[in-house]
Amino acid sequence: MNKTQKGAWFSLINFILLIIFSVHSVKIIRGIFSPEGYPNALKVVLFWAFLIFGFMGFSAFLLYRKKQSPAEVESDERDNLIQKRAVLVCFVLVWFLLIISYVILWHIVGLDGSIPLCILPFIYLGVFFPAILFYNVAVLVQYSWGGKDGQG
Amino acid sequence: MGKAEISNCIRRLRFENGQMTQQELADRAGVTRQTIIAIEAGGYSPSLTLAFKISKVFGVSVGKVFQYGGGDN
Repeated sequence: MNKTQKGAWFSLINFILLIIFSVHSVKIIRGIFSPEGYPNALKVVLFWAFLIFGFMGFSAFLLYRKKQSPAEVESDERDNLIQKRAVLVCFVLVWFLLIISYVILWHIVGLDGSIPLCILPFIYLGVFFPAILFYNVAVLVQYSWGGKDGQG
Repeated sequence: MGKAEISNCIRRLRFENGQMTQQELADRAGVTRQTIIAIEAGGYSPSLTLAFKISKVFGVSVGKVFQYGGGDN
């Protein structure tokens, strides 16, 4: 497994952990604002902090790779091609999700309706987070396919 | 371009050149070992530049390493 592949796995696992954490964070926020739920919320925070930082610390060892020879290269034309295609997938997905989100909003509030300004950052977050996920998935899928053909 | 259209005989050439390892070939061609594995398996067709580099390592012409439409992979 090369550096790009490892990086994609690292981002993907961290992303999934953060998604699960964000679901749990609802429980945490509720706990912080209620006296009886506070100890439980603290436990959840500590558990997730341990898990995420533990994984990040552990993955530092995973990402480190000793070179098998002094002339060994870290990335080449195939890695660049795979990354380029993954970025393209990301770009298409961002536009697709942006258009979908605006169409949904249009259906909800109507043509003459208005939305609070604070909704916009959530739309962008809702678009760019899946894009990161798709970038990593696209990288890993292409590596499993072999990378297909070179150009130039 | 499909998987079967460009074949190669890198594996045979490596063994004919003093049992050269994939890592050695990768280092000399300036690519990663994973790329050599993918090329040997027919999963990746290299760029023209890389094809020339690989054939230069073996000291043969590109046509001796890569064949279009069948070969001894």
